[in-house]
Amino acid sequence: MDMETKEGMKKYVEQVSEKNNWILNMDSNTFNNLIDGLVDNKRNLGYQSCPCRLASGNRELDRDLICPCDYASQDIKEYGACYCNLYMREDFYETIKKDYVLVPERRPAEKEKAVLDFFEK
Amino acid sequence: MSEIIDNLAKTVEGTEKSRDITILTLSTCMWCKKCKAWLNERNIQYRYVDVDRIEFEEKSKILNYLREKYQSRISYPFMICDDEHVVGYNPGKYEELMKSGGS
Repeated sequence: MDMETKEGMKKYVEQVSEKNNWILNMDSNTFNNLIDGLVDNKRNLGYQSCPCRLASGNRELDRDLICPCDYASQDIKEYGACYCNLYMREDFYETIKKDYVLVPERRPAEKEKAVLDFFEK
Repeated sequence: MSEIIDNLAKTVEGTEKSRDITILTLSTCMWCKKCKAWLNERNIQYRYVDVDRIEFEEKSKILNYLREKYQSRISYPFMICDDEHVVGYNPGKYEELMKSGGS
């Protein structure tokens, strides 16, 4: 699948959600915005970095942010959705009864500091 | 406000100008789009910088400025409203800020 296209990225996130027993955000505007962000990052960076976080552009430094990010599973379990709200827990719409949830940043501060150091080089 | 933000920020005109609002955003971020839409719907004037669209040196200057001034982790959207700030999309806090300040 060509993840630099919107259709290809949709297929990719569908496969990810099925594999993990998650569901995808059902708000079409939000979902499409998230897909657009992922496609932009795939085209500009070469990998589908989380659209809601600042990528460094260095794949090694951004590895934990590549969608699905390293924090998605824990966030979905705890808050019902990943940081971006792209992936959601299967019962999200029945139990949480909100359009979206605000998920606090779980990425370790040291990783952000490493990105800042990278920008300064 | 930092000179680097002043130089890079783009202004979105609005009739409501009682508070000085700047948001640091990502062009790819759905929460940042929601934040801009929240301000646009209320016709609130603001400035924004898409941090993912600027040079490394500028990113570095802006991020260091924000970290030092606000002693906060940087998540997007990062709203600066006069002397206050809100990290992440939070319409409840935006409402409070708009009600509490301005002329």
